[in-house]
Amino acid sequence: MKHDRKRTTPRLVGLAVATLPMALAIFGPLLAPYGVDEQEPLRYEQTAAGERVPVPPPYPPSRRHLLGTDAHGYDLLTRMLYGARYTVGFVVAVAGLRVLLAFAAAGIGHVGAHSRERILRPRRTALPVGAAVPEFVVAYIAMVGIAFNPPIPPLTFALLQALLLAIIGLPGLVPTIRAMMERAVAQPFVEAQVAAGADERHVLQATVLPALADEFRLLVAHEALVVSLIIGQLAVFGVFVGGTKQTFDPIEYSSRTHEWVGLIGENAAEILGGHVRLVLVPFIGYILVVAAAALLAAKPRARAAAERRGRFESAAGGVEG
Amino acid sequence: MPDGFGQRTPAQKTHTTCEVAITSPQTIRFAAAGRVLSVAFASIPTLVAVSLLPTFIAVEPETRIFLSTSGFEASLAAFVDDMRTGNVNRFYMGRTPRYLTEELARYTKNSAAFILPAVLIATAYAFGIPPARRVVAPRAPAPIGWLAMVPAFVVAMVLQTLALQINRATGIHVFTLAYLGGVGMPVFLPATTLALPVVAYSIKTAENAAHEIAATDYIRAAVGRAVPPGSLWFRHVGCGVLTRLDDAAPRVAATAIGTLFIAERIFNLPGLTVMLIEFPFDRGYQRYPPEVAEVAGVSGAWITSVQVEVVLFSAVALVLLYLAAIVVATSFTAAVRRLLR
Repeated sequence: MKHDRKRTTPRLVGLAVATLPMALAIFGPLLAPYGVDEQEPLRYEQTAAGERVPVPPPYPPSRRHLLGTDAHGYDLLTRMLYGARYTVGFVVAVAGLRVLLAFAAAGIGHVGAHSRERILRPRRTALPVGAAVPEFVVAYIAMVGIAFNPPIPPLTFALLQALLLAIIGLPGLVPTIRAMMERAVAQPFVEAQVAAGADERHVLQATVLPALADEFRLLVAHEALVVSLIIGQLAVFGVFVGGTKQTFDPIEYSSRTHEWVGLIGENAAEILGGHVRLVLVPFIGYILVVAAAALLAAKPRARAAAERRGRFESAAGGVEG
Repeated sequence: MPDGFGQRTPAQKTHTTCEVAITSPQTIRFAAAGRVLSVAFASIPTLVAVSLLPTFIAVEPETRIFLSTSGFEASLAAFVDDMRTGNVNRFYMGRTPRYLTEELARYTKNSAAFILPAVLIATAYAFGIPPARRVVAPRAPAPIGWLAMVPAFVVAMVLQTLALQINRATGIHVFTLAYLGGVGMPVFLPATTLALPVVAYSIKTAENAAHEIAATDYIRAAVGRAVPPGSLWFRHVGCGVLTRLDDAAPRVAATAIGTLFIAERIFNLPGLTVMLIEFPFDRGYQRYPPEVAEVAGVSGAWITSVQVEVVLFSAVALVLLYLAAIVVATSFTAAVRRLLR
C-alpha cells in the first residue's frame, strides 16, 4: 500500500495543482469583475496645499481591485482571468500536438505493416542536432518577423504559433518516441505474440499501444513543461502567445491575449520601478502551470530505478557482446 | 557504508564502470573529437537558418509586408557586393561606419567571460560534489538538482527583485541590476543566473551517473575488498561519472548558451546573443548610405547589409563559443582523469 502511495502521490498532487489553472481557464471570463478593456479612471488626490494632483497607475490592491491595476489602469485580476485560457490552452494544445505529430513521424503506422524482423529490429537514433541551438531561439527567429501587431485575430495567431512550436519540437521528440516504441516491442510478451504468429496490427493495437499509454501521459506532461518554459523565454524577448501589441510612441509591448506569461513579459520592466506585484501575480499563475506539468511528468521512483537498472544491464550486455 | 549500497538488486551481468579500463585514452580522445566535429557539421544547416531567417522575415515597419523577400534580396545583394569589394568588415549604424571584427571581438569576449567559467565551474562542481557528499554526508539530499527545472528567466527576475530590495534596504548600490552603458557592468547577478541552471543540470547528470555506477558489480566488489570510501567514490565511481560528464558536455554547453540569451537580454549585457538577435531588429530599418546604395543597386532599400553580415558572423562566433564550452568541459574531465590514473 505504501509503495502504491509513493507511485501515485506526485501525480495526485500534480492533478490537484493543475485543477486551479484549468478551472480558471474554463470559467475565468465568467468570474472576471470587469470587462477586459475596462480602464480605471485616473485618480486624483488632494495635496496639503489643497491642490488636486493626478495619481498615475498602477494602483495598489483595494476592495475595488483585489489584485490592483497594471501600469495602464487595467484590473490585474480581470486580465489574469481572461488570459488563463490562453496560457493553459496553449500549453496543453502544443504539448498534445507535439506528441501526436512526433508519434505520426516516428512511423508507428508503418511498423505494423512491415515484416516480423522489422518490428523487432532496433533502429539507431539520430544525433540530437537540435541541442546545438536552443529551441526557443529557433522559435524566436521563426516568430519575430510576424509576432508584432499581426493583422490576424489572436486566437488564429496563437494556433499558428502552436503549429510552429510543435514542428520545431519534432527533431528532439521523434527519436524519444521511436525509442519508446522500440522498448515496447522488445518486451517478451510482444515477442511471444509475434512468434506465435499473431497479426502484427492486432499486436500493435491490443498490446503495444496500451503498454505505451502511461509513457505518453508522462511525455505529454513533460512537453507541457517544455512548452511553458519556451513561452516564458519567448516572453522575455517580447514575443507573446497570440501576438504582441506594439505601440511606437512610446515604444511599448503588451500581450494581445493577456495570457500569464505575456503579463510577466510586458510588466518585467516594472520590477525596476518597484512594482513587483505586477510581475509576481502572473508569475504565481505561471509557476502553478509549470509545477503541475513537472509533477505530472515526474516518473514514479520505482520505475526510474528500474529504468536505470535496465539501461545498465543492457549496457553491460553490449560490452560483453 | 556508501549511500544505498547493498540495498539494490545486483546487476545480472558484469559491467566495468571505469571507462579507462575498457577504452584507451586515444579512443576517448578520438570519440570526443568526433562528437565535437559531428555537432559542428550538424550545426551548419541550423547556422544557415539562424543567419538568414531574420533577414528573410524582416518587414518594413510602415508597410508591414508579411514575409517580404524584398529586404532579403537587397541585403543579400549588398552582402555580395561587400564581399566583392572587401567591405565586409564595415557596417553602418545609421550613418556611422563600424568595424565588424572589432565589435565581434568585444561582444564575444563579454559572452565568453560569462559562459566559459560557468561551464568549467559546473563540470568541476558536478564531478566533486556527488562523491564528496557520499563520503562526508551520505544521508544528505542531492544538492540543487531540482533547480534544473526552474527557468533561467525566473531565476534572473527573482535575483533582480531581491537585489533591488537589498539595494533599497541598505541604501547603497550593492548590486548592479542591469547594464546601462559605461563601466558599471553587472557581474554577480548575470553570472549567478548563468551558472545556476548549468550547475544544476550537471549535478543532476552526475548524481544519476553516480547512483547507477554504485549499483554495479564492479563497485560492489570494490566495497567487498574494503576499498576506502574516498578512493571508491572519487577514483572508481568518479571515473565513470567523468565519462558521463563528457557525454553531457554538448548538452551542458547548449544549456549555457540558452541561458546566455536570457541573461544578456534581462541584464542588458553587450554580448553575442544581443548581436545575433537584437542588432538586426533594433538597429535595422535604416536606409543605405547613398554611396553604398549606389554601388549595390539598392537605392532606397530599408534593410542594410548590417543584417546579413552581423547575423552571419555572430552566429558563427556563437557556434564557436558553444564548441569552446564543450572543449572546456571535456578538457577538465580529461585532466581529472589523468590525475586519477
